Order: sequence, then C-alpha cells, then structure tokens
Amino acid sequence: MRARLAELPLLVVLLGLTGLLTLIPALHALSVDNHELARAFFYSGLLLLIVTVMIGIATAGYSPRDAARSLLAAFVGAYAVLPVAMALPMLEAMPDTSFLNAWFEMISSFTTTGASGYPADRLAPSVHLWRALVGWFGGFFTLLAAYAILAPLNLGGFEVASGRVAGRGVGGTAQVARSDETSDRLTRFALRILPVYAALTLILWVGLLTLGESGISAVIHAMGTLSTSGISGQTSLGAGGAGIPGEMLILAFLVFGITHRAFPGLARSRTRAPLLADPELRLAALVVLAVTGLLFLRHFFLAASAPVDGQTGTVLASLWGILFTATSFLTTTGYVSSDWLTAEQWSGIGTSGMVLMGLAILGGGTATTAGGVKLLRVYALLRHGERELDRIIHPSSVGKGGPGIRRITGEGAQIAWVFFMMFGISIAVVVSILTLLGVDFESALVLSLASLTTTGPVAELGAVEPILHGGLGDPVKVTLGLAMAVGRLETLALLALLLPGGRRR
Amino acid sequence: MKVIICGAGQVGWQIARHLAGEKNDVTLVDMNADLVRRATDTLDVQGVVGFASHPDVLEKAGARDADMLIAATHSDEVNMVTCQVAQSVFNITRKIARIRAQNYLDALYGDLMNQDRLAIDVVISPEREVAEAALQRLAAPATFDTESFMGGRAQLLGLQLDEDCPVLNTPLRQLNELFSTLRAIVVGVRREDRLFAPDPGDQLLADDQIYVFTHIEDVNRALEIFGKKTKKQERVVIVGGGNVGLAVARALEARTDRVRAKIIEKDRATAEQAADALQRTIVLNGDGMDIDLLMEASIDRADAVLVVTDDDKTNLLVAVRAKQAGCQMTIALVNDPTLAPLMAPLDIDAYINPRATTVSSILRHIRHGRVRAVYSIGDAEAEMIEAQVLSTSPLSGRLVRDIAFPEGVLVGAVLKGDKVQKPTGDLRIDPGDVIALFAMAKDVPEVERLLQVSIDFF
Repeated sequence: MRARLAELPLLVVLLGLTGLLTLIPALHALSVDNHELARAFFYSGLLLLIVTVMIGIATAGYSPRDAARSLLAAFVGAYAVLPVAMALPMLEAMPDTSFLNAWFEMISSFTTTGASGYPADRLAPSVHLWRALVGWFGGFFTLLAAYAILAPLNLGGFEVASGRVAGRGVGGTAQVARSDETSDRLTRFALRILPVYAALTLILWVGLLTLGESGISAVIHAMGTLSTSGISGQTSLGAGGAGIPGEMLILAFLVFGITHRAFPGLARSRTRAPLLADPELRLAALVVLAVTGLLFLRHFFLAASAPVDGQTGTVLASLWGILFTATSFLTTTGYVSSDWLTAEQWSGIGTSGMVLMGLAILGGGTATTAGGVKLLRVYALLRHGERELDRIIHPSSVGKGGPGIRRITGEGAQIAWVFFMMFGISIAVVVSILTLLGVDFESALVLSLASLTTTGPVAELGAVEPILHGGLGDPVKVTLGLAMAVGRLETLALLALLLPGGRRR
Repeated sequence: MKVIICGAGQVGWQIARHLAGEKNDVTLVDMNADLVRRATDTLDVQGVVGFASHPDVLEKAGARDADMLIAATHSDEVNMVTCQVAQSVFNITRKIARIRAQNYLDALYGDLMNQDRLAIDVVISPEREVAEAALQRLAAPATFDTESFMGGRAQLLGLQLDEDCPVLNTPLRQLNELFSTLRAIVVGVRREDRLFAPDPGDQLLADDQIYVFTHIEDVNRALEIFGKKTKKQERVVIVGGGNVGLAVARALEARTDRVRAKIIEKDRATAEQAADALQRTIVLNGDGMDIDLLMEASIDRADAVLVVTDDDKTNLLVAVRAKQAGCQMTIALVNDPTLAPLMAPLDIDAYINPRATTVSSILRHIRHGRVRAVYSIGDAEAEMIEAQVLSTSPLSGRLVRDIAFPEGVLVGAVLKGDKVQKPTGDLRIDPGDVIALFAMAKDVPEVERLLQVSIDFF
C-alpha cells in the first residue's frame, strides 16, 4: 500500500489527503447535529476521493525524468490545485458564497496566511475548523516540502547555510551510489514529521483545554499556532478563555516557528551546540526583546500623558501584551494578545502596525512553517555587515567562527541578499498592481505585506482602520491570493522552477 | 650509550650532532638516502636508510641493544608507531617522540606517565618549546636570550651591553660588593665572538654580550643595573600563523593583561584555522613582506613583532622591514645557527633558534644524573645545566669555594628547599640541593662527573 502510494505523483496523493481531511469537519458537524453541513463536507470529500482514485489510476507508474525537479513542480502546483479542491466543501457548505471568495479563503488558509474574507460569526464552527485544518495541513506540507523537496535542491533557506547555488542539488553523488530516491525520501520524512507535528498540536490542544478554553476554539488555536496560520474561530484568542496562561503556552509553542532545530527528531546533522546557541533563536530573542523594551520604555519618554494609569498590574499586562504579540508576528502567526490593547494605550503608539509589519517581514526560522524573509537570512546579512565593518579597519583580516559562519557571511549572505531583493521587488510589484486596481496606497502596502509574509492579521492591525478582506474587489482578492502563494513558495523556489536553466536537460 | 634517531630533519640532525659530539654511539634512520649519506659524511654517526617504524629497519639500526630511541620524523603518527615498535618488539627502555599536533599533545601531556597508552616516555614538541621561548623573549624585551630555571624561580638573561650601561669597566668582584643584595651573577661573557666564563677580576666592556643568572624577583633590578629599561608589551604583531604563531597568540590571549595581538599569515587555510582557534586576536591574510599589510597591522605602533614563518630569510627580512617601519622590537625565528652573527648588523633585537630549544629539551632527558634542565647557549658553545646534587656526588657536603670546578664552569644559583640562593664561597652544597651550572662545552663531561654520572643510576 505504502509502496503503491509512493508511486503516485505527489499532487494526486495530496488531493486524496484533502478528500480525507474533509471527513473531520464532517464528523464535527455531525456531532453538533448540523446534518446539512456534515453532508456538504462528506459529499465533497467523497467527490474529491473519487476524482483522486480516477486520476491515480490514470497516472500510476508515472516516472519523471528528473524526480527532484518534478517534486518541485508538484510543490508549486499544490498551491495552484489544492485551494481549488479545498474550496469545494466551502461552496457546498455555504451556498450563498461565490467560488472566488471560497478560493481566497482556502488559499489564505493553505498558505498559512489566515486572512479571512468573512466576518467570524458568519461561518459555522465546522467551517472554521475546516479553515484551521487546511492551515494545519498547509503547515505540514510546508515542513515536508522544506525537508524533502527544498533541502535536496538547496532552497528554502538551506542555500544560506550551504553557500552553494540555489536550486541545484549536490553534484557528483550519482557516481558514488544510487542517491536517495526522492519519493522514498518524501515518504520517509512525511512519516517522521507527521507524528511529531500532530503530537505537538495535540499537546497544545490539551493544554489549552486544561487552561479553560472551549474544545473547538482550543483545537483551532492549537492548529493555528503550530502552522503559524494564526486562524481563530468565532472567538478570538483574547476571548478564548485560557487567558494569559494560555497565551504563555502558545508562546512556548511558537518556538517551532522560530527555529527548525526545536522540532524533535528532524536534525539534519548531529550538532553538539545547544538549542539556546542557535543563531535564529538568539536573533529572534534579540529582536523581540528589543521591540518589547523599546515599546515599553516609550511610555516613560513620550507617552507620559497616556490615558492608562501606572498601576503595576497594567504595567505587567502591557509588557506581556507586547512580548506575546511581537513574537506571534515575528513567527508570522498573527495572534494578538488580550493585553495588546492595554499595551497599545500604555506605550501610546497609536497605530503600532508598522512595528508588527516589520517583524512579519523578518519572519520566522528556515524550514519551519513561518514565512517572511526568514531569520537565517537576516542573520546572514547581519553577520555579513559586521564582517564588512571589520574589513573597513582590517581589509585583509580573516573571519572568525569556523567554516560554517564564514560561508554564511560570504556566499550565504550574497544569496540571502538576492532573496531579500526579490522579496522587496515582489512587495513593489504587488503594491503597484493593487494601486492599479484602485486600492489606496496605505491599504495596498499593508495588504501586500500581509499576503507576502503570510501574516493575515497584519491587515487588521497594520493601518489606522482595520482593512477587511471581505470588502475587497475580486481582482484584488485574486492578486492577494497569488501573492500569498508567492510568499509561501519563496521566490527563489519559483524562479528555480521557471527559469530556463531549469529546463536545460 | 647507544642511541637510534629516526628522521634526519633539522631536529634529528641537530640531536645527532650533539650526541655524537658527546661520544655516544648514534645511528640515524631516514627514508632519504642523500640525507643519511650527508649525515654519515659530516657527523660521527652511522646511517640506515628505510622507513623508521618498520621493525626490520630498526633491527638493522641496532635496536636489539639500543638504550634509547628518538623518533623525530615529520609525521606524528610514524613517531608514535616507531616508539610502540621499539617498545613491543625491541624493548628499548627510553623512547622520545616528537609530536606536533596540538590534539595529541593535549592528550599525551595529560597522562604522560601512563605507559599503557602509548609507549612514549617523553614527548617533545618543537613548536611548543619555540612558542614558549618566544613568550619569554616577549616578556623580557631588553634581552636577546632568556630561559627560566628551577621551576620558574630563576632566570637566565642574555644582555647586550651598550655604551650607556652604568657598570662598564668595573671588576665583577666590585660589582658583587656594590650590589650585595642582588641575587644575580654574570655567568658568561661573549666578547668579539668568543664566549667565556668570567673571572671575578674581569671587567665588562661596551658591546659585550653577557649572560646573567638571576633570581626571578630580581630580574627587573638586574636589567636596570645593566642599563636596560623594562617596558610592557601591549601591541604585538606575529608574522606566521602556523603552530608556533598560533601557540604564542593563544598564550597571549590567555594572559590577564590585555595584550593586543595580530597575526599575519600568507596561506588562506592556515589563516582561517588560526582565526577559528583564537578569540580576540585579529588574523590578517597576506604576505608578511607586504608593507601595506604590515601597516594594516599597524606595525609602526607595535611594541614588538615576532616573525615565525618557516623560512629564515623571510623572517630576517620581515624583521628588518618591521624595524624600519617603526616597530620597537623585533624577534625572528632563525633555524640556521650560523645566521646568528647577522642579528646585530640587521638590528634584530632577539632571535629564537628552534633547534637550540628542542635540543635543550631533549638533552635534559638524555643526560645522566639528576639533570633537570639543560639550555644550550649560542651555537652549542656552552650549556646551562640544572641538576640535583646526589649524595654520591663529589659536590655534596662541601663549600662552594672548596669544589674544584674546571675553568669554564660557574655556579649560577643554588636551590635549597624552595629558596634560590646566590652562590657565595662559604655556601655549603647539601645532598638534595639543586644547582645551576654554566659550563663551556669542553667542560660538560667534567661537570657530568661532578654530578656523579654513573651507569649505576639506571
């Protein structure tokens, strides 16, 4: 069975998995006696499975010439095909919505962006569960792709550490031995990642339940945290009932969006260095603490006349609010602490969206579910800058820290810089398309950053007035959906597939 | 004594020369037939061509009845295996191996005595010794040669006397009375290329090079008396980032007073290795002869430059160049002892001869009796010998003035318990004391006899 599945193209397997996933909201709808909704999910799931089996039969024995590249194509293709398939249950469940809205909802979830075009109370809990589940599945797919598809091709952040040309595997191994079959690798990693990913979600779910959050909301928040999609159900995180202890628990689980080394059982090499010495984790801690400290101290210098009194409780609450929200946006999750409002008033920043947008651009760790530029690239650029300063004083000095660090500060920083530029260009392109479509500049900027960094909630906090995705025109939604896919895929991966060199052979 | 020396490189050659000069039966083993032939032609040694660790080669070299084996090939691994073979197959009692790699050294120095691990009795490491010598030179910038004795309680200083030295043209006896509390003694004088042990009536002249043996606490005072200023070294430039340069930089980093060191290394890979091994030290990659690079290392403001590349000529030229650029003090590593007379005309303040340092440390293990340290002075012209006085020795129980030392021998200091004492005529030498003797090369056998050098010690 496993061998048979491994022979099928990745896209077909993913389609089948999507079909299977619909059973979960179907069961949930059944348990809350919403039979109509349960039927909608069940039938569309059945339909997807039947289609999958048919395509599966038609494509059995498919053997691509270049397995790694075909997987990359499947990785990109997944973002084109799956949201359409996932929109099917949405359409069935909500007959009054348009296909485009359903598609936008699904691509936003699947890319772990988590922006929603509907008011939260318009969707039934089962539909919210479906959104969270799609986001969770998207997170899993991102992790799987990072390890099994992008890492061998030297993409997705691994190019920074290796310092080799992105989009190419290691040359010259073919003569040593039969290299690891790519589909074997995919299955192997899938079986290694899924149990850990699911178990972590389960632990967080149970933890949130214990701390007093209601069942469906707890599981949605658990999934939203692990996949960094930041999807909330009808109740937002602040109103979830778990309070600050719940937020602390979520903060602890956000570490999986900061460094892939926190993820148990997936280490690519046996490094002796402790987790706390991980550069991504350190950089994240530095950034979050700096932001927290600055916003917190701002109160004392600039906002002495803020409308909040200086009681200890308020001070601590606003400190926590800043810390949690900053971490959440750094990992591109986008959950907002219940104390964020207190904090906002305390520090007197008014619209704090710019800070959060900046954090979202930095992004989480490589090979995690987070989006953005990724901490490792920022780290490489920082180290490179530091090194260049050294070189101003001593032009012929030799960099310290071992071959790994030297590679990161040299070739790694160069590739990171290329990525950074691409990211900047994609922001510019999306913003200009949006302004052409009639969106005003500020909204266009906020929306494109929210999409490209896959941090949906930025749209609500970024501008003075929250921008609602529901009120946007259809072309704008299509543009944003595509931008989310680009942000999720990382431009380098897209280019590696599309550039003529990829089709050389 | 029958000695087998494996490896006819610089170290092996020098040891062979030294041991052969002392009437030992020396056999030199090397892969290179030319080297072996040259050795047998110039030195009083026998030669065997072959791979040092092969038992048949060792047997040919007479390992069956050898007393000692010194493995000094350039490969650490060959040296270790050679010692192991010497132990297991031929049962040679004393085995000395030259080990370069820091990792081996750390492991070996840890449990040197543990014979179960590796059959090596003594590990010598030229790089480490040279680094130590370099550090001593840096510590005493006014000297051209220094070595510490008696577990660091006493110091031998080599001083170049200038015109403005306040104690010129005064008999040594008078100096002794003048500075009666100074625990220092002039043990050797080199005047016009001739080294001799001074008599009490001798005077010091300008341009003399003198060797002073002094209590460690009196080093600064002694330097002052001979007209030398002591200045702290704060900025040091090291040219050559190999084993020696790296070891010196490491030691400088470990010191509590913040010495700012910079290393210049030509080879990119070596430079990167050095950069990874060091914390604060800045490593520059490039040619040490390049004046731009030297200026980048701010050579003009450096207190000292230490040139320790593997090429003598580069070392001399870089030292000259650094001096010209404004560096206060230059120290060069010089392998060829015949280059030593060039130091004065080139205005190089001090030089380190790796052979001398290595040979000194090997001699310490070869010498009979309770010899604890031997330092070879000049081009093996004289030795500073530190030894424990045995009860069977003719020295023990007698006053210093009653002992019939040969003409070229002087007592530097006597260590009683843990107190270093200045030798006076009525000082009694007791069994168990440690005595430091300056001895001209021709008088070394006599000194050995005085120290009760007998076969029965083994």
